[in-house]
Amino acid sequence: MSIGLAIIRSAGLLVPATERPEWFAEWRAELCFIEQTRDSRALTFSLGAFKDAFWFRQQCRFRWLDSPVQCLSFLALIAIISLIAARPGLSWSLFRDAHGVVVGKTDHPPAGAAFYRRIEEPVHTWRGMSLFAIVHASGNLFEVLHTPAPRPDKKPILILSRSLWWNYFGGDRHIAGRTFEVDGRRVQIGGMIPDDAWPFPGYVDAFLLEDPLPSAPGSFVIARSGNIPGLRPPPRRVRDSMAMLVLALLAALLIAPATTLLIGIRQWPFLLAKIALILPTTYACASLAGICDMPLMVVLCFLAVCPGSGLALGWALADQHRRCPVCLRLLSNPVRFGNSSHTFLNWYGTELMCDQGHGVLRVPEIVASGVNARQWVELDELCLK
Amino acid sequence: MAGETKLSHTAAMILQAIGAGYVYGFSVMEVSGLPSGTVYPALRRLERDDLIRSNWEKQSIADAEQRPPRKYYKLTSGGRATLEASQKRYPLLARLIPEPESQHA
Repeated sequence: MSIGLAIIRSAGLLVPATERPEWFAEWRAELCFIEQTRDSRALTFSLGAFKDAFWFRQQCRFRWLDSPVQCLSFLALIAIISLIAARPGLSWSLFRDAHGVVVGKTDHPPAGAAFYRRIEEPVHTWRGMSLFAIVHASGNLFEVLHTPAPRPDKKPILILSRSLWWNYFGGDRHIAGRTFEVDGRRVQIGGMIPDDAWPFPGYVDAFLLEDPLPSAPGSFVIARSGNIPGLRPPPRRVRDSMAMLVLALLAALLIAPATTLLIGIRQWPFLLAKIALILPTTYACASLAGICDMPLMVVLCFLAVCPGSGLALGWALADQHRRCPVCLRLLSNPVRFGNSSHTFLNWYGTELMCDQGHGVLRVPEIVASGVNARQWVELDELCLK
Repeated sequence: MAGETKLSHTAAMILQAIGAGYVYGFSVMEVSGLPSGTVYPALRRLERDDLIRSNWEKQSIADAEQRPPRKYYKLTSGGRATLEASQKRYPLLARLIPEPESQHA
């Protein structure tokens, strides 16, 4: 087997199996013809098989992303899914009832204040023993937070988060009244509240409400009064998320110089729409970091979200340069012109064509001083040249 | 004309070559000076857009030359109309790759 045929066979692996036999037969026949006539060009001819094979492979890609409307729809879908997935960690819902609340540690709590401390307790569920994050609080906790929830009478009650109720108790609608052992005591389940009822950082599986709350060191005080020494408004996770967004934007700006300026003014609204749809996804992912209790997990989430957001925003910029400035569809049909070793003083690079026939984008292989990095040529202009 | 297929200069040159009688991929390469990695994908695109259609040459011809049968391309009626429109768009196209009648003239 000749080298040329071996190259064609290798390239053929990229071609979809259904198309491969005919594709290979055509290239092999042409190669045989060339080898019969000019041996020296057989190798360069064979190397072109890879580009042809890639073309077949490109036909299988998601062509529906070519259209600007479909691209935006796809991004919107991702944003909606992200927001739904990260709903428990989204600050705007978490802090809806936290306005005016102050929290901290003080020796002189105001009247009507609630007390709580976080504990991690093993709880036996139908899925076995699991460790849950539980807030052990005074009975007026949800009154202070302005969240409707049952209040304990004489015995302590356990309020489950919706996720815990659904995941570990199978969504049992008759669970209220059942008893469980928590913190060494049998407690009765009082009900279930939404996951976003807890307005402070850290995810909570359940609330153990008790009146009066046994005094324990390290308890926090929550109040709705104003100036109380030691009590402050809770840290708003929205600031953390915004910090991540700012870092993501900075990362995108670092990537931006790698691309060139946008070609047409029509591309700007499309670019802004893409960024507007990427930001909710970024924000949702950043909010997930707020759910994590472990500092290591928060750091890992932070490290994952920032470069990821930067890359997503960088993609939004880079994607602009692959689109027709008239119809905003992705350019296709790349054609490489020239040979750098032979035409040093001539233009050489890649030409991309708009499928709708609006024009051609010329991208030079090497950007030289005084020459546009890329040039959009309308087809009507082209024919006048 | 509504629905007219607009071609880049390269695609129009390949269409012109086929119209001029250079019906094999390699002969299109030779006459246009374009590399195989450009010509063959372009042929696929033109065929996908129904501007050209491909056929395999007869086995007897290939047997006579002791090689496998080659695939050749021909213009469709749509391809001919597009080529005429492209020739108006790119007046130098016909001079770059003359049609058989022009060659003999």
